[in-house]
Amino acid sequence: MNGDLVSELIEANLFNSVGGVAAMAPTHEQCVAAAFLICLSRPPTPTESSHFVAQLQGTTDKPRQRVVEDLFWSLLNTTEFSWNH
Amino acid sequence: MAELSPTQISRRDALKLAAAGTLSFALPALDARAAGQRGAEREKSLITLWLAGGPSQLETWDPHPGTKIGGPTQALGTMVPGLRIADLFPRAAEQIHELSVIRSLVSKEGDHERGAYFLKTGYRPDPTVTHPSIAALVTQQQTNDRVEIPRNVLIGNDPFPGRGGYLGDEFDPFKVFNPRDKVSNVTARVGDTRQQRRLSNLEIVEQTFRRGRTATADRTQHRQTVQRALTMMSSDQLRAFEIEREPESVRAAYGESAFGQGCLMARRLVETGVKAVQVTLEGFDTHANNFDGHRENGEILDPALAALVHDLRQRDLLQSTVVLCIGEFGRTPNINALDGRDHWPSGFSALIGGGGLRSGVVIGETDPEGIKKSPADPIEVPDLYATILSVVGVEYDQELITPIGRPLALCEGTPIERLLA
Repeated sequence: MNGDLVSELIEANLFNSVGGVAAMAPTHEQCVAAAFLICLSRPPTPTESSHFVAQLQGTTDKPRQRVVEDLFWSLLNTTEFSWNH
Repeated sequence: MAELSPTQISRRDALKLAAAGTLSFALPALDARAAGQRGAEREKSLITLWLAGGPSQLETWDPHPGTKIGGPTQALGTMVPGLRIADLFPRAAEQIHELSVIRSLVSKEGDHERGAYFLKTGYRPDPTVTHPSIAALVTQQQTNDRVEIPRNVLIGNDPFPGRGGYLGDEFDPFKVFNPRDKVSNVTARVGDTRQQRRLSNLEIVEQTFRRGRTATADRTQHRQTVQRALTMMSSDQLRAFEIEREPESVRAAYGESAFGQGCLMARRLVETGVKAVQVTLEGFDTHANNFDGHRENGEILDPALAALVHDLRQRDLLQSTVVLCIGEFGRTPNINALDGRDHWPSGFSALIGGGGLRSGVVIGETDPEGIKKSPADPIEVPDLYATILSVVGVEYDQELITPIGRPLALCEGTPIERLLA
């Protein structure tokens, strides 16, 4: 949760998927879907999608990066990521 | 579970609910009392000073000066009539009457890893099962649920740490590698607003995962672990790890070493309600230059041990804290060509006391000539652990079923009567 590993993985920059998804996804929906596919290898459910799309609504640049970083943080800290099924 | 309507609640259920309600209201008051509790009434804890590598009995609690095997080590008198310990421990000599000395521990494990396993669990290594360490067994008995920090803590770098074994990974120790550093990873990386967003996001995705597989998800302990971590992150009890809050004079009394400061942290942790703390001192594997090695480590162990015992007694915590000072085995009576001593599991020493155990008892005797291999009055390690578990209040002979379906006693020893008050 608070360690260096996750912190380094989710820090948005030009060369990683966090920065890439934040900057290049054509729509909010595709941005969320890409993050889910990258971390959990599944698309988001409609509930999940609308929850995260709402957070992305109206954001650009830095604030948007922050939202995407938090999305990745949450995905990497789930039971689903750690244990799959 | 079906929702209960008031009319469906039986009289017994109603009483149960009422009792639970009363209890939860009463808890804060009980808590305040538990925190201030001192003396024999307090829930018992265990502090283990683990001397990694195999400390020499002849350079610690069982010196034989003036003999062929004694080396240059001299003996110091103590307040216990007839008890003399190595001269490397002048300050511990003034406190050792609060503890007892066993000079005749016997083991069949002369390898570091196997010996450490045996001395931490009371069981010899067995490929079919991982036994819980004595620290884990003590931790499992916690009834005080106001403790929000890990209840089993290991300080320092131990190559072979004890595990929760078949009790479960939640009884593994929380590791503090250097007591002088801040405890790692207990602060969120982002501000409150973002942290809240992260946690509520997490909840959304967790709900999806749990749907239809609640039991599987629970078995992973993932959510419980996250929850415990969050509780710990916001707990005032984290102060127990902050030895810099102690006055300079107290810190100095324990010695400047990481081990000394770790012993101080152990006292603070136990005071907060932690059940088991191990503080590790490495460097006892003196196959060469045994006497220099033990002198150097003596300078670290002596003030730390003395200050710990003194401090625990001053704060009226000694009655409720078992102190054990032990390593994986002893060292040979014979001094080798490199002025070293080798591994010796037959007849080695340990200190044990506090927790309501009898003090000033000296058990066993090794041969001053180093010829006889077995000590007089040999003490088996499982008996030592049954003694500790019985004073801590653990039903040490109860059998649990291990993961492969085999019933196994927590401890196969019998308490040593002479150490019980």
